[in-house]
Amino acid sequence: MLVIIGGKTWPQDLRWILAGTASAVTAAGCYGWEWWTEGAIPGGSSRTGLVCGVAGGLIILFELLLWPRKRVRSWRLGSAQTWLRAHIWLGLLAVPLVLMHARLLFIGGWLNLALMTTFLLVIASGVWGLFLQQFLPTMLLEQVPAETIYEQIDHVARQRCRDLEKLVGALCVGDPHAPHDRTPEADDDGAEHAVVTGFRSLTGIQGKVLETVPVYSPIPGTLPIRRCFFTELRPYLLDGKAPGREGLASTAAAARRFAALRAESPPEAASLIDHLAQACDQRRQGDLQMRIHRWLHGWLLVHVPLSVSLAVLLAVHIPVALWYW
Amino acid sequence: MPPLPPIARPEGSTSREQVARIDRAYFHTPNHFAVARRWLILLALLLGVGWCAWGAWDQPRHHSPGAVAHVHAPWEHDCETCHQPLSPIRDNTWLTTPLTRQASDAACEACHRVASHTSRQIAHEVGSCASCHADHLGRSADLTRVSDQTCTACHAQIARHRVSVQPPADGPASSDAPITRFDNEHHPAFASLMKDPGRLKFSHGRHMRLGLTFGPTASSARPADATLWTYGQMSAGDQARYRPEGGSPSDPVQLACSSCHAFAPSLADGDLRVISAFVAGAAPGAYPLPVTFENHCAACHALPTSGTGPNAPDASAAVPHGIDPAGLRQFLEGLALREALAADGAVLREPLLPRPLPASAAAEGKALQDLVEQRVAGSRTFVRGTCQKCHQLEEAPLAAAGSLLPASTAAAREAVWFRVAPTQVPGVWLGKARFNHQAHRSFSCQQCHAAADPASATGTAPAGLPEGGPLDHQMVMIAGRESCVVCHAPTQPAPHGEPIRGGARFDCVECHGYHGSGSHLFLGQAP
Repeated sequence: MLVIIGGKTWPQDLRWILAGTASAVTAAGCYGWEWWTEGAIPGGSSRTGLVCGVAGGLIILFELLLWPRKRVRSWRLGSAQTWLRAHIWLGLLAVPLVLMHARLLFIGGWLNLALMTTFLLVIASGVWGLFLQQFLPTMLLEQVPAETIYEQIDHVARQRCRDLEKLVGALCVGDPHAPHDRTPEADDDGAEHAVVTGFRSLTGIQGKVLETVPVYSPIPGTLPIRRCFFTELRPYLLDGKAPGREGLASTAAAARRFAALRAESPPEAASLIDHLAQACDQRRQGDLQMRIHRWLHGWLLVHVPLSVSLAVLLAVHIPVALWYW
Repeated sequence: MPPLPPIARPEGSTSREQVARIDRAYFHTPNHFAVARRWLILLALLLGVGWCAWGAWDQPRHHSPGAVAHVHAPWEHDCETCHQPLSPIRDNTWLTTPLTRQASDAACEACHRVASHTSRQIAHEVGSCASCHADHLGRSADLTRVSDQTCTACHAQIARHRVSVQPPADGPASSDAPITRFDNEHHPAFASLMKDPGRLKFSHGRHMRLGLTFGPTASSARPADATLWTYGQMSAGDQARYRPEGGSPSDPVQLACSSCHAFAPSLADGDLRVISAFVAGAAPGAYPLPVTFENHCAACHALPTSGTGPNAPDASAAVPHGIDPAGLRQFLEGLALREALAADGAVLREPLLPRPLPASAAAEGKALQDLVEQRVAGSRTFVRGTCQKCHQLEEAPLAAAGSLLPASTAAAREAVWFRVAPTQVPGVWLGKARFNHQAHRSFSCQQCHAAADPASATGTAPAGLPEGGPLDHQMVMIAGRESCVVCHAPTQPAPHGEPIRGGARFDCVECHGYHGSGSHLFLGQAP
C-alpha cells in the first residue's frame, strides 16, 4: 500500500513524478513536432509513435512483472515498495505514451480498439485503487482498532460468541421457558473463570487482549440479560449486520439498548453488560473492516484480470502491426 | 437456535491454550476474493485469446485500422495487395529504406502510373505513395486530398528542396518565395498573372461598349460623333447570333462576356477549334473554349484586300485568316489577276509600249503584269495595315519562285513580305493551378475581370495605359490572389445579417496538382 497524498514517501514519489513528467513532455514535444511537420496525426508506425509504442509496451511488460514479483518474494529485486512505486508511476507514464502511439485514439480495427479499451480500463481501475488506498487504510486504522485478519473475522466472531455464551451461562440465571439456551459447553466445565476477548487502547497502542473473568455463581435478576443475549446479541455477533438487526449495528441504537438492559438488571451484572457491549462494538468494527476490505481489494478483481487480457491482446498486436506495417 | 460448531482446540487460561484460540491455518481457508480473482483471470485469459482467434478468422475487421477508400474497396480483404509483409508502407518510420519504399510503391504503381512532380525535385526527398495518399480513412475519403504539410515540407523552403538550374536569360526565375499556406502573406502572387505574354492588340473596353466605340471608361456616355456599330452591319447569321430578342437591326451592338467566352461542355457540330489537352481534360465548363477569329471576330472584322471594296467582301475576296506569307502572296496575286481579267480580257494582248518590230510574246501581257503588280502592292499594304490592327507583324522574306508572276517582275522580286507573330495568348492563364469557372458561376464575371468591363475599370489599368483604352494586351484582366482569399480562407465571424467571409477551402490541393506538374514556368513563357 502506497500512500502518496501527505505520505512520508512524498520525496521519493516526487522524483518519479518529475522523471515521468519530463519523459511525457519530451515525448509529447517530439510527437507535436512530427505532427506539425507531417500535417497529420502521427500513427503508431511513425517515428515518434513507434518509440512511444515500444516504450509503452515495455512499461506494460514491466507492470505485469509485479505479479510474479509478488508471488516469488524471495527474489532480491528491489523492495516491494520500490516495485509498487515504479508500478504506479510508470503505469501512469504509459498513458500518454500509448495514447500517442495510438494516434490519440483515432484508431480503427477491433483488435486495436479492444487493446486500447482494455488498457484504459486497466489504468482506470489502477487509478481507482490508488485513490482508495490514499485514505481507506487510514480509515481502517482509525475506525477499526480491533482490526483482525480479514479471513479470521468470522472465526473471531464465533470465538467471541462462544466466550460470551459461557459467561452468560455462568452468570445469568437459567430460563425455564428456553432450556435449549444452555449450551453443553456452558454447562459441563463448572470452571471458576471465563476467558473473553477484549480490546485495549493505551497511549496510542491498541489491540485485542484476552481477559479472564472470574465466575462465581449466577446473579439473580439477570434473566433479561440472558434472554437479550440469546435473542438479539448472539445472532448479531455470529452474522453481523443483517435485516432485522440494524439496531445493534448502529452505535447509538446499541447504546440505548444496553442502557435499557442495565436499567432492568442488578448492578452486579454491569460488568457482564460491559462485556456484551464491547463484543457488539467489536462485531461492528468487524463489519466495517469487511466493508473497507472489499473496497480496498475489490478493484483488483478488475485490474488483474484485465491486465491478463491486455497482455494477450498486446502479444497479438505487436506481430500484426509489424506484418501490416 | 442451533449450537455453535465446535472449535478446533479447547481453550483455556494458559498461554498455550490461549494461543490455540487462533486458527493458525487460516490462510488455507478459501478467500472468496482470491477465488473470484482466479476465476476472473481465467475468464479474461479466455476472452483475450478468443478475441484474437476471432481476429485471425475475420482479419480485415480486426486488423484494418479503417475502411479503405471506395476506389480500393475491391481489395478490402486482400491486405497483401498493397502491404508488403514487414515492410513499412509509409516514409515516416525508422525502418523505411529505399528497398521498402520501392516495394510499396511498386504495389501502387501496378495500377497507378503517374508522372513525377517536377524535374527539379530531389529524388530522395520524394515520399512514397502512401506517405501522401493515406488510406484506411473511410470509404468516402479522398486520397488525393493530401494535407498542406506534404507540400509545405518542401515549399516552405523551396530553394533547399530543388535542383538549382540556370533561369532563362529573357525572364526572371520562378519564385523562391516560401509558401506555407494560402493567404496574402504566405503565398506569393500568381506568377502567371504578373504580365500578359500575349501579342494580340485587343480592347475589351471598346468591345464591351455600346456600339463598340472608343470613349472614357468610367462613363457610359459615348461621344456624340462616335460611329456606332449596329447589328444591321452584320450578316444575317451573325445578327441572329448576337442581336437580342426584340432588338432592331439599327440598334448599336452590345456584346457581353458570353458573346465570345463560351463554357459549353463540348463543341457544337461543325465547330472546329484547337483545344489544349489541359482544357480538354478539365471538368466540363471549367475553362472557356478558345476564342477564334472565325467564330468571334469575323462577324464584324472581315478581311478585305482594299479599302475601296465592300466592307464585308465575299469569301473569295476576303483574306483567309491565318494564312502564311507565301499563301497570302499567291492569294493576292491570284485575286489581282482574276479581277484584272474579269474587268477587261484584252489586257492580255495589250503591249506596254509601241512595237517597232513585230511584237514578241514577252511583250504581250505587259499591261496585265503591271496592273497585277500595282494591285498586289496596294493590297499588300492594305492587308498589312489590317493585320497590324490586331497583330504584331514580323518580316518574312519570300523567294520569287513561289510567285504567280514572272520572276523578272518587280512584284515577284519583292522579297520581303510579312507574317503575323504568334499571339501567345495563354489558353489557360493559371498555368500551375486549376480553376473551375463552373464552380464560380454564381459570381459575376466583373468580380474577377473588372478591367474588362468599361463601366467598372476605373483604376485597374496599369499606369501609362488608358482606362478601357483601345489596347489592353499589356495588362492582365484576371484578379489575383487577393480576390481569391476573400472566400478561400478560414471562416471569419461576421455580424448578424452580413455575409460571412471566408469558409471556402484553401488547402494546397484545392488549386494545385502534384503529379505531372512539370517544371515551373518562367515568367513570360507560355504554358
